[in-house]
Amino acid sequence: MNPFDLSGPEFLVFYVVYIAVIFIAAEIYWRVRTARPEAPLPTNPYEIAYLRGGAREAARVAVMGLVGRGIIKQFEGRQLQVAKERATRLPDPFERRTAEFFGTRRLAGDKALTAFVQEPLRSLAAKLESAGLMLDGKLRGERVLLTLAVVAALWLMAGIKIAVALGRGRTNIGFLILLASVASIAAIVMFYRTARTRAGGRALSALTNLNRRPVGTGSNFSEVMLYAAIFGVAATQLEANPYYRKPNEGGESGSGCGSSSGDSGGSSCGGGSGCGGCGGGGGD
Amino acid sequence: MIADRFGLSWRGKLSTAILANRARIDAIELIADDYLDAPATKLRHFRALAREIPLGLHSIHLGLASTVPVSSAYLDRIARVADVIDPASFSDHLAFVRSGDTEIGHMHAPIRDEATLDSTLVNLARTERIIGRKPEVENIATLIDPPGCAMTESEWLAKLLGRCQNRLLLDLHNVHANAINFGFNAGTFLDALPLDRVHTVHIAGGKWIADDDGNRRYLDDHLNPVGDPTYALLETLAAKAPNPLTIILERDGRYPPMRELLDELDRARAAVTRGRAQRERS
Repeated sequence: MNPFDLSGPEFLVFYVVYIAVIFIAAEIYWRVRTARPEAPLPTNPYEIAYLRGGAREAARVAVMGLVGRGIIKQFEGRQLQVAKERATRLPDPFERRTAEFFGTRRLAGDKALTAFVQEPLRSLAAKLESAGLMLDGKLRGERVLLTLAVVAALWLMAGIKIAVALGRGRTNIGFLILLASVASIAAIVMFYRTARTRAGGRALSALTNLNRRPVGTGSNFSEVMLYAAIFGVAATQLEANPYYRKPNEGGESGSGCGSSSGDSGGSSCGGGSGCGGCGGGGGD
Repeated sequence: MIADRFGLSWRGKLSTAILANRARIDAIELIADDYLDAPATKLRHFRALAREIPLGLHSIHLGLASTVPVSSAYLDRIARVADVIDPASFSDHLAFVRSGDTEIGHMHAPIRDEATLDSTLVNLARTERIIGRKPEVENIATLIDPPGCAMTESEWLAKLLGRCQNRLLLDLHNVHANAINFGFNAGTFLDALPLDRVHTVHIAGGKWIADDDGNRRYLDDHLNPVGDPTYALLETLAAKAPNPLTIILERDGRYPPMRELLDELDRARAAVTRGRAQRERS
């Protein structure tokens, strides 16, 4: 059977199957290529936050940590300013740079902050890359080639059919062009949706599943930081968290109560915010 | 310098606190029986964890010290968990938990005689064959001294270990509780054991209870802080045991803030350090 002899609708059905086969093959190849069975499980909150949500999330966790430790102070209207005498002594360059951002009183704007802390984040990203949790330069290059290969395969099949159709005096090629275009965009989205490797995705999934209990007043700050890194700063519901908004407070990043409930309850209480309260019991 | 480890039993409610305080926790212990029906994905998460921190897989329901054979079906389920997680060690108690097809629901001290000893050895061999790992065997606490015993607990344990190569998971709080309840000296008990077979140690807390007649017993409940006598036993053990020890603090409920558990681990570290110093001096 020559697929190029199929009628227009028949070829479209064939082409959908072809797209599926190409996508599945490419996904399997990419998963195998980025799997690393012995990849480590990160426990540094900034590394976890970066793995989960990139520079923006790492910066948010850093701000929350610095506020919680009193190195950045909160003022009226949730404006933040660093306590300079302590900021200069911070040993972690990422924390020190984050603190510098609040040299003057300002809101924790995500975009400006993220741009400001790029430099120290590079070494953090490099660590995750060398651990096989995020795509390094070589894998990013392979991702470009793989995406190009998928798009080329999609348009090769479509292009031949279009040429055959036009040669036979047919002009009903609109759906095929649309389908090839949509599939090409989907391929780009599929391979560029995350900078994590498969091993990185698995590590994040493991951390999420191993840490389902909400943290609360009985928790020390390192526990809160870890929890924020894994689930997002909004999940901590603590006053020390400048990104957390009480339900009636509004604000761009305030989502009210975080969605941090565990799989079988917990015994922790919120840290005095509007959404506080004690989780249920149960345990494994 | 012997590199001893100090860790906690993994509990869902402590998970974030354990990972957040990883720098002060050298090892963890996971109850295998809680994850028999867990999907492979969940078990693989523990495998990832086991690559980061030495993880001992601990079972509570095999019933090794019994004339009743260990359930093959149960061993198969434990083996599945162990195969996926690939733990650093595997252990269970020297207790009986079922009679025929009847599950008792908790661990009982075995009748300490030759017959139970022989069948325990058979159970240990079967367990090793099916799980693929030689189980460490743990001494248990009991409120009832089994009737018809031909040997003391230390004699029975020493005899068992003399006839197999399994390691002894020494629960010091169980030793302490039994010593109180049955009036023997815990230090003498330790001296009767082959301490060169001890690699893992449990410590825990307990409380006094009284029956209707007002008779007081000491209960190993894992709900209270570790007491001074247990730390003293740990020091004694560290002075005599030649191998690196993994000391696991067991806590099963009424969880205090993690800093209190870490303080207990620090006290255990201090006790072991004192014991190791004595060992070097001698």
